[in-house]
Amino acid sequence: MTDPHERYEELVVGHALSALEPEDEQALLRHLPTCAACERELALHQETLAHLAHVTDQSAPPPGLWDSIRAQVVAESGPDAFAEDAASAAGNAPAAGPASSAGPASSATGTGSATGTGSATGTVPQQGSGGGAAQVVDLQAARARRRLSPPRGALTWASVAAGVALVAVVSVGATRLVLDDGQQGGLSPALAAMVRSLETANARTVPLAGKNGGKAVAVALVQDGRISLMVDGLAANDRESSVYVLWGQTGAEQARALGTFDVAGSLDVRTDLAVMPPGSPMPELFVITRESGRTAPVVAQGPAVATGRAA
Amino acid sequence: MTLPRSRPAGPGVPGSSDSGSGPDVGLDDRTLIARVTEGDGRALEALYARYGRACYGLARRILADDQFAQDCVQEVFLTVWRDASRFDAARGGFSTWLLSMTHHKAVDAVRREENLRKRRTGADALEHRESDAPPVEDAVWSGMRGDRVRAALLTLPEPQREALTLAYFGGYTQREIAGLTATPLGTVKTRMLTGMRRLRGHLDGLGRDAAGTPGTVS
Repeated sequence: MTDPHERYEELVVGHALSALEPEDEQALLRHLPTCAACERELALHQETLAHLAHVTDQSAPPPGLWDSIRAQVVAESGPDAFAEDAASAAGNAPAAGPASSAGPASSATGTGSATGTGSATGTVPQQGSGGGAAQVVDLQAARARRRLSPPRGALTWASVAAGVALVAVVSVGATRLVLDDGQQGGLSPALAAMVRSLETANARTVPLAGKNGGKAVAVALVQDGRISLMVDGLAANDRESSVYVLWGQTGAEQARALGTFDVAGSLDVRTDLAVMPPGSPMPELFVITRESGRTAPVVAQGPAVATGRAA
Repeated sequence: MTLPRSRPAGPGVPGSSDSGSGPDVGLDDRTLIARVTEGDGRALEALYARYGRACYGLARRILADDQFAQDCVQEVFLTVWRDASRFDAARGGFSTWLLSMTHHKAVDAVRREENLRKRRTGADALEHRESDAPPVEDAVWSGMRGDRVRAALLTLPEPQREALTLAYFGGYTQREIAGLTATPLGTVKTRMLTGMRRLRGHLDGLGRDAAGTPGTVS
């Protein structure tokens, strides 16, 4: 006589292989929490199957893959996640404070830890049993931004880029900044990853195209009156004698300095670089200049290094 | 003989063959995942350096598409970052959890993208290619483990090996495999169960934690 439990043993194997039909999957998920033996079996099967991963080609992943992962982590958790004392910083993460408008250049302000935040789109399969083990993490977002449907980030970028292309002459204070057409370019993988993750939070993102080469070197993030800046491609500045300034302009009004920042590496994030007063309109045009000295001038003096217009 | 522990690449160049010298290099998986739970991105970086290659290889095998594989691996490590506390060391090793998650995600993706199901089966599933070779210690351990696993698979009767490889590397369901092989569904389920038990018997002792903690190989 066939052991009635053998049916579940077969289902456990199928589950470990992600090979069950939905009805069998549901049947097993109802059974697993009630059966320690099946839970143990599942853990052992998963362990055995993990060995199979090593008969695959073990080529190194492309170098840009980690950059994208890191960029997402930074976008979600702030640059402090990779600080020397990241763990303790995360445990005592202060609320991100607004940067003073046009004040002295400041270091990046952290946004605390994002582990376990609700921003996760997927679920983690639980080990051994569990319904979690049956849950296949949602890759819908990743799929959606690939070939079969127009990528969301690309659509946003395309529309913004169209706006940037119209900017031939930008007035920042008393300075007229002449920028070339066709400054829009592709986002670097790191910036694109940030934009994608931040877009999920309903933030408005504005790529800023560099003057040379036309590639986006920064992305301004506008959300709830706060303006953050992600930089990837601006040259490092001398912290003793210069500073970058982000300018914002609304309509025909004079552009005003929103905040100052330094660039040390190829990828950097300045969260809450500026906080707009309640009720004030968001800038339509963003320009980054590099200025002499450590504070923003009343009107731009230095060269514009990037610009972007909100779509 | 006891094999040396896989040498993790340095956080400075994750996934590369550089040895690196970052502060998290050399820490065991449990310590690293605990740090990830506390919001330490460098610990995640060290885990990626250690396992990114295995995850990418598995995802690429299943998805047969480099970009999809990258998306998959990215999603895996971001899930680790967001939900590291879900890992329960009492239930198994970190790498088993990680590779299981990678497999689930990759299979889910391949089923959504039926046109990408260029799934490799049979002898191709046992294909052994080494490119962009890992460090020597890693290569020794990975190579022996891979050889051992390939040998174990080859000891299985062809129908069992076929059922397992179609499911694991191809992402096919049991019913699909029954159709592909013109075999009753019940037979496919039995073949999988029997094949897994045999495989486990052959691989017993290879290391409790499938990818992270090499064990004693007799």
